[in-house]
Amino acid sequence: MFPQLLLKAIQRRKLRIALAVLAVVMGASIASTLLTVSFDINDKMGKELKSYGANILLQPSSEGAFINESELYKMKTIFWRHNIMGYSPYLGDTVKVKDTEIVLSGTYFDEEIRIPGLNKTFIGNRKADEKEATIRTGVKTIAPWWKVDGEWPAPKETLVGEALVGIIAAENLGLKQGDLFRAESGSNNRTFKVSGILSTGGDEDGQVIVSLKDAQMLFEKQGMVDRVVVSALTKPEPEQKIDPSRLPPEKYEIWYCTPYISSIMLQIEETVPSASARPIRQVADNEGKLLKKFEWLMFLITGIAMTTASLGVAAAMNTSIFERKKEIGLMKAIGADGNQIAQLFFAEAAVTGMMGGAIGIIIGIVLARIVGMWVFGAIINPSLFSVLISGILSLAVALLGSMLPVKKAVEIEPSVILRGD
Amino acid sequence: MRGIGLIKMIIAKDLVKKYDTTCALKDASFTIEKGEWANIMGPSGSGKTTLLNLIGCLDSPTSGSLMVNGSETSKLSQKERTRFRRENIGLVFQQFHMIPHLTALENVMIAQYFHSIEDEKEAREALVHVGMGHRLHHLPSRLSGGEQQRVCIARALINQPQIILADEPTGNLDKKNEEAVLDIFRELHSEGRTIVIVTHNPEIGEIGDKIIQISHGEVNY
Ligand SMILES: Nc1ncnc2c1ncn2[C@@H]1O[C@H](COP(=O)(O)OP(=O)(O)OP(=O)(O)O)[C@@H](O)[C@H]1O
Ligand SMILES: [Mg+2]
Repeated sequence: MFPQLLLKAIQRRKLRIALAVLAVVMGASIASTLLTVSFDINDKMGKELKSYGANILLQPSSEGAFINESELYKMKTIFWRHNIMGYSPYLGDTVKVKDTEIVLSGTYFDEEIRIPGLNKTFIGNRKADEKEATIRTGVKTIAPWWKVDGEWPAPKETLVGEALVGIIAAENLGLKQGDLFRAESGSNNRTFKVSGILSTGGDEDGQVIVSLKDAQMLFEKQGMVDRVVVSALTKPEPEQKIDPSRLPPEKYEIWYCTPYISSIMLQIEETVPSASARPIRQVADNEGKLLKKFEWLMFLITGIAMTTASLGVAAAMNTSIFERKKEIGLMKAIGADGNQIAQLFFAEAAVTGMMGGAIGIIIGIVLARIVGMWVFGAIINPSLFSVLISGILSLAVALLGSMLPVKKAVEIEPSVILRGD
Repeated sequence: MRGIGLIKMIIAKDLVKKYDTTCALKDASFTIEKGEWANIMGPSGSGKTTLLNLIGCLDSPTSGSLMVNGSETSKLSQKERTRFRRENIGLVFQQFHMIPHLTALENVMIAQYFHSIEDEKEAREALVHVGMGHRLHHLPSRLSGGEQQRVCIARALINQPQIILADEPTGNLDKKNEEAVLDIFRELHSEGRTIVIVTHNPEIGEIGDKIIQISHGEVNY
């Protein structure tokens, strides 16, 4: 009986229900749009922020000099060595390819680095064993967002080197995967095979990327690199700037033993004397803050939209209950109790919420796509999470909006029914 | 020992009902026995509907005591009144109130649903019993006044209440339909149900066992 009662009441009052549904649709579509955009953008930006984990840049400590490649492993021996997630050295210069000047950089793709003496085991106070450890590092770790169409250059030593060519450079040079080209630097030259086309969204798109060894050979700078990007897990610096040189010894100790980016940089500089470190996280940090603000704005607007929707539902429900006063009185006179009346109207509200929510979510997904293309230039895909949340919000809004009207319905006296019309 | 006429079904003592300033019922005292057919009669505005509302637990009195089927109902909360009404009272109204978007059969079944669980067979039989077997799936808008009133009676009876209350059940009916409805009441009376009917109609007054005369809120009994 309950389903019939519900369905027939809805059927008979399509227009009224449609108004309440419309209120939910408005709220749900706004919520769904914003949540979808927000989650997706957050997801995308979050991935990028994580990959921008390269947060320290090492440069030669004096003008015109280079950093020693052989010293770099020492970063993995500092106090906070476990917080050094990876690094990748670069050596770059302009070369001539097909009579066009272009930047060629050498780096680690996925290099195995030996770190002597990293795993020390002790028996009592005596150093029993000094094991050699290895780590793998390079752009694959540090810049996981690099997209290679084709193959990564193979690590093997061959007569012909392998190179990644940036997507813009490939276009300019007319190169595609498998092509051979010759890079000239001064009197040196080396032939490379294009193993893949690289797209990173950064400067690399206009460059040729080869292994560090190949670049060093070509530029005749064996064992030298001109910059290193390091990814270190750090703790946010405290609000007021700390000047370590002014700290009393105990405080200095604490500062030194906290993974602040500044203390880690100092420790790197201590172990790699040819390098000076500077942080490169600021941009990403600001983006993170902006993202947070953006997110709050989204939630705020969603909240306002949902509140408005719930007021709309309340208004529609109120009219509906006023119009059905006699019917409610009759139901009570023939035996319905408050719970049964409440059930009926809450069920109606739930149906309203679900219909409105479903329509709103679909509109929201479409709008999110449009907004995504328009504002962010990216395709935004709905996540199960945002759909679920929008659905739950719609239902909650419809039920919350119905609360007061239903309370009124429950309080209607059955005696109204015996009074004249 | 217990039989018709020996058990008091309704005992009203000094019942008062005030609406803001108007006193619709003044110190009404009367008793109705089990199985009795009592008619409440009096001029318009005298308080008949008010009294029926109180007996049917649709409303509670301002003061006084009212025993119905062995329970004191004057102090019950709305929730308790609903429960009591569900178990003991069947109501028939002058303006044959049906839920407009439900069929005749569904209008009977809804009372079963509110009471406990619906039983379509029983609801069907109840409608056949009041001569409405041929109109089970009609909406109220497609039923005549007399037909609607018979559906309402079937609905009032479906949960086997001890007491049937009717507020001018034939007031809007022609002679033929009035007879049909009265026949149903006669049958209920013969089954031993307690019947209280508000009426202007002297003919009905003659059928009943007892008349509760009311004027200006005062009961002459
Ligand atoms: N809800 C109410 N609020 C205020 N006054 C009311 C209310 N209901 C009834 N009254 C008043 O109480 C008095 C008795 O009304 P009641 O409906 O019981 O009369 P009645 O005898 O049933 O009349 P009728 O034969 O016309 O139906 C009337 O004066 C009426 O105006
Ligand atoms: Mg009346």
